[in-house]
Amino acid sequence: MAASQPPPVEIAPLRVLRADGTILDPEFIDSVPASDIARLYAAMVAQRVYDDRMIKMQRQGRLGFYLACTGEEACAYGPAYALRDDDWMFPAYREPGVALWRGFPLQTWVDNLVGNCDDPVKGRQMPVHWSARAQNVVSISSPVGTQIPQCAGTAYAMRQRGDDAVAICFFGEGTSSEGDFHVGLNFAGVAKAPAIFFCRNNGYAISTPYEKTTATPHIALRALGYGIRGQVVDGNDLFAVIKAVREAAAFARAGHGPTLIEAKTYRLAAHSTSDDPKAYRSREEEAEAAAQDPLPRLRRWLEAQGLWDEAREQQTQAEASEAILAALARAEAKPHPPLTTLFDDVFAARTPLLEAQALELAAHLSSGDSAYRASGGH
Amino acid sequence: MAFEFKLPDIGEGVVEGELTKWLVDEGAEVAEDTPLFEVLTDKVSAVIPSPRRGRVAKRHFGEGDVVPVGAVVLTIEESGAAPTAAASAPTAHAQAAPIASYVAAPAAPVAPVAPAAGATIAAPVTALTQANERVRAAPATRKLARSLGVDITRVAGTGDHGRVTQEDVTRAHAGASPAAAAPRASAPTAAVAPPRAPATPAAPVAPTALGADEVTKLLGLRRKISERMRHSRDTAAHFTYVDEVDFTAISALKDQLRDAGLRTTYLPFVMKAVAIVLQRPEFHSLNAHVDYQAGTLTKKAGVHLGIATATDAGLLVPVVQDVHGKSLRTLVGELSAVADAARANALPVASLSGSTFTITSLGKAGGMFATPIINQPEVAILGLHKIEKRPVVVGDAIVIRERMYMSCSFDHRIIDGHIGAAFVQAVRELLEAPALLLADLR
Repeated sequence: MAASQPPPVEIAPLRVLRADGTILDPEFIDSVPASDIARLYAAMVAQRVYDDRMIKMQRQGRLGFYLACTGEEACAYGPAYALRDDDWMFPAYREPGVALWRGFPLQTWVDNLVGNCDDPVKGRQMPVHWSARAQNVVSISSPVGTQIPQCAGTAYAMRQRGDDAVAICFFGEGTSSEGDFHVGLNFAGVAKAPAIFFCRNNGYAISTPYEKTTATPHIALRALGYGIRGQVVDGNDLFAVIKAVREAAAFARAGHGPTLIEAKTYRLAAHSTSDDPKAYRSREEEAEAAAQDPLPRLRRWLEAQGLWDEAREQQTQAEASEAILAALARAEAKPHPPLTTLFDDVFAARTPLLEAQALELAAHLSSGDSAYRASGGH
Repeated sequence: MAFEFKLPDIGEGVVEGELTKWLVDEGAEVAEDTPLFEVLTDKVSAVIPSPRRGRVAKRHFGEGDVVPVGAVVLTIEESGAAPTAAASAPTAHAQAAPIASYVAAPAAPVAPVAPAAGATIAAPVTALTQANERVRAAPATRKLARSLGVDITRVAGTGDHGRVTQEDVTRAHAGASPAAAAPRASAPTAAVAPPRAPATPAAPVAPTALGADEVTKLLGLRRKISERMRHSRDTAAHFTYVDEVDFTAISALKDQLRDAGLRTTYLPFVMKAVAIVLQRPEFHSLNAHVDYQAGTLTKKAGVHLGIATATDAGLLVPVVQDVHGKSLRTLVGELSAVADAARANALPVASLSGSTFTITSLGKAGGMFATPIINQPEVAILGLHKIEKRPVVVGDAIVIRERMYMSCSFDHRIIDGHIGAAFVQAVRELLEAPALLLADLR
């Protein structure tokens, strides 16, 4: 049996940009075009505008459910930027940015949230469970951790085929205590699959604090047990996230196997519209976390470079607001998917039982005393 | 044009929310996203922003009201012809209760929205069940049906193969769905159902003069009361101790006070007597909160008495704080203020919690005795009945005295029988000899 040196696990958090907007690693900054950074920042600002609008929509009864990304924008836009468009992405549910950055149409995203006839998943999923096939972004699964073995398997398959693409999946620190985490990381380690396991450690598994989900001081330390590379990164530092994902991707493409990245961040908003963090977090803790907010930090740096100012901030917010409101207006004007499509897509062809149910529904809908409408509409 | 804003389901599967605070007045102009009100549900507390621009024409609920999801919370008289972008969805859509459209279409089988919807849901499912088939239901569902007194054979199942679910049982119990109340065997079948003869011959037709049964949903306060009563019965080991108390002396005192200009009921006397007894070390465990999950009993320093009060909406238990340190005169004033506020549905939310012991008075309708249900997390409750003149043996003579039964329920998990009995006796002693009451009066 050949003993080999396991890859390193770095627990000193990778950091490029300080909270005050000054730089620790000027060399790295040179590797990212400044115009790209301004574009990324604008996208993160827009994301925050979208999130704010969606929560209001939900509170107004116009959207069934929503999960905001607020405070964790760098953990979505950083990896999306660092990877190639042919790399596969398996988001959890808090990273619409990974698809939007790759050109997933805002309108399609909103159509999914509303669940209308142009929703790629035909209104059958909860809001937030979107799909972006054209962007190589895989559907979101509600059960936490499902995407981890999927990502490991996809990465392994690509390696077997001789592709040099990688697969990345996103999950929270709570999910890292689920069984699928072990299955995925162990398999990827054995197979040296070109996978990146991106853990957003925001301190809470919904309402359960970190300390009550695991005794390990760093999720990244778990990489040791799988013999894979591990890296802690400041998840509120867009540059550091880009750097960590780039390094992990290069490591994977070189055939050395997967990396577990633990991005330390904080969810500044509620877990979802069904959650109320006032019940389990102190105001002091939230204020402390807000001081680490990835957006103002990046803005300070951009402003110091003369790449951003208040006028651009206002304009970006106004444009994002206008874009999302227009998309929503269009989405709300569209009918729901026809009820009769309910039986499609479960199997390639309808089974006899499904066929019988479809007939029964059709007869009921045409009987005139139905509370539903046969096609579209509300 | 009037826009009726209905309370959305702002959590997942939330059925109601307590309107904790209005942020706009009637007549106020609001823009889109103007915060309208704060609502507290089982899951979140949230500020609800306006979906429309206009003038607040009417607020349909007050602060502290429990609002069912889907109920109209406020009416906005819309201003300006064209809605701006945020609300530029076609009005037909927006006014057709967006939430209802999301819920009713894909999730119809679990949405017990209206009787009409319930009926259409139940029909195709019953069509799949065989008339004489044994009822399909999980043991937990059967147990639930037994505990609610629901005949499970008469519940239309909405689950797989007509399986009766716990929701079906609770729905049938609440009487939400007419179909659920009908016998399975003769449930109306949908037009598409295979024809099937009723399994039993038609039952004798009921007299028609009475009209239809009235079905209402258990919502808001009634629902809360149900849950809390059920919880108390399910957890506390109730035992009730009844004794008769002689109120002749208190009655005389009450008359003296009335002549001196202080009109009072008997209740303040009982409250003082209870407070004095609860403050004795041997009865501290009766003025307490139990937390069975944490395995703790918290003996409360002060005596804060819950006063069960009947209102049109149902039973409320406003709290009179610090009874141990208040004069009779103060109590008389506070009691009447609290009762008025409760009946006007204007009790501040804060005044409905924090009691350490509860008194429930059935007053003139008092009957002889009852078995009061403990207002948890408290461990005891005192029920008062009608005071009336009764013949009593004093020495060797029969005399007429003012008498009342007191029914006191205790949580036997915490309170031993002799402690409970001693408590009632101690209260009785003070009430029968008010001089003793005076000795400790503060």
